[in-house]
Amino acid sequence: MEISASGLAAQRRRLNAISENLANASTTRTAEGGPYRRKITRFSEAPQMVKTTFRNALDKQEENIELLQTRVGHMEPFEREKGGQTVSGVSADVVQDDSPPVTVYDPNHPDADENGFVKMPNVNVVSEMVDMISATRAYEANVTAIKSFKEMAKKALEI
Amino acid sequence: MLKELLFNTTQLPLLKKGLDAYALRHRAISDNIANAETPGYRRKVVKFEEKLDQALADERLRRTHGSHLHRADELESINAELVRDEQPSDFSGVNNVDIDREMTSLAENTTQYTIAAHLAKMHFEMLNQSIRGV
Repeated sequence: MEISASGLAAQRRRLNAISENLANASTTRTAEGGPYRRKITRFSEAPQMVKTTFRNALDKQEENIELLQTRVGHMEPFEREKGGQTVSGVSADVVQDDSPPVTVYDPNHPDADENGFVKMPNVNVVSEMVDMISATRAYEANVTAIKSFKEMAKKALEI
Repeated sequence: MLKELLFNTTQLPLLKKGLDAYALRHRAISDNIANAETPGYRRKVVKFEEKLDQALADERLRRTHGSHLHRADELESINAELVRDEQPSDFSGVNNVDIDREMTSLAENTTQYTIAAHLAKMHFEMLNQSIRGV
């Protein structure tokens, strides 16, 4: 479940980056100066420790207090398995595409240089659209994995 | 004695191993789907059936009749194993995950898990019925 959820989050970040690219496809002025630069999403495998909040709380409590056996009837302290489960998953980070901006000849544009060329963002609308479809499909694949897990869990509860 | 008769010498230990293996495989497949576009990712696979076949083949020599049942302790040593498929062939040019294959495995694995869970459920229902004499 955690794995598929990380997949969903990663694809959502990618879709956000794509939307931003499309929205700024012809932005010639930015806060950093110069035209807008395309954002790309980079995926990497991310091993992570999953701790339930309950386990977290227990571990914290255990660090703070030390229980003592004051009577014979008290239970023996037992070794609890520490930590959580390691699952893998995916993480996405958004980076800037530093490829040079596209120059377009448009002398009437307010941001044109003395030769009449305007620096436009390095966003290719067609490739962004293709990327968007692929992100949507990948998102759906992760949803299917979650659905399967739910089905399996339901069957296991019927035993 | 009763435990041996009702649980350990039945299909139950085998089903238990199967459920564990399919749950682990689901995790591997989910991971492959989540990382379908991660550059350089190597897909994860779960080895279970071949280990089980091997163990059952060894055991078959000792069992003298086909209808003899498996014992729980004999199955105990079989554990599903999570390994990386290091095959360098990259289908997508990014990694060796083939999304179609993963989605098919996902459907297959879910069905297998459902069947195993159903059989376990049936087993307990039958026990229950014979206890109550209905």
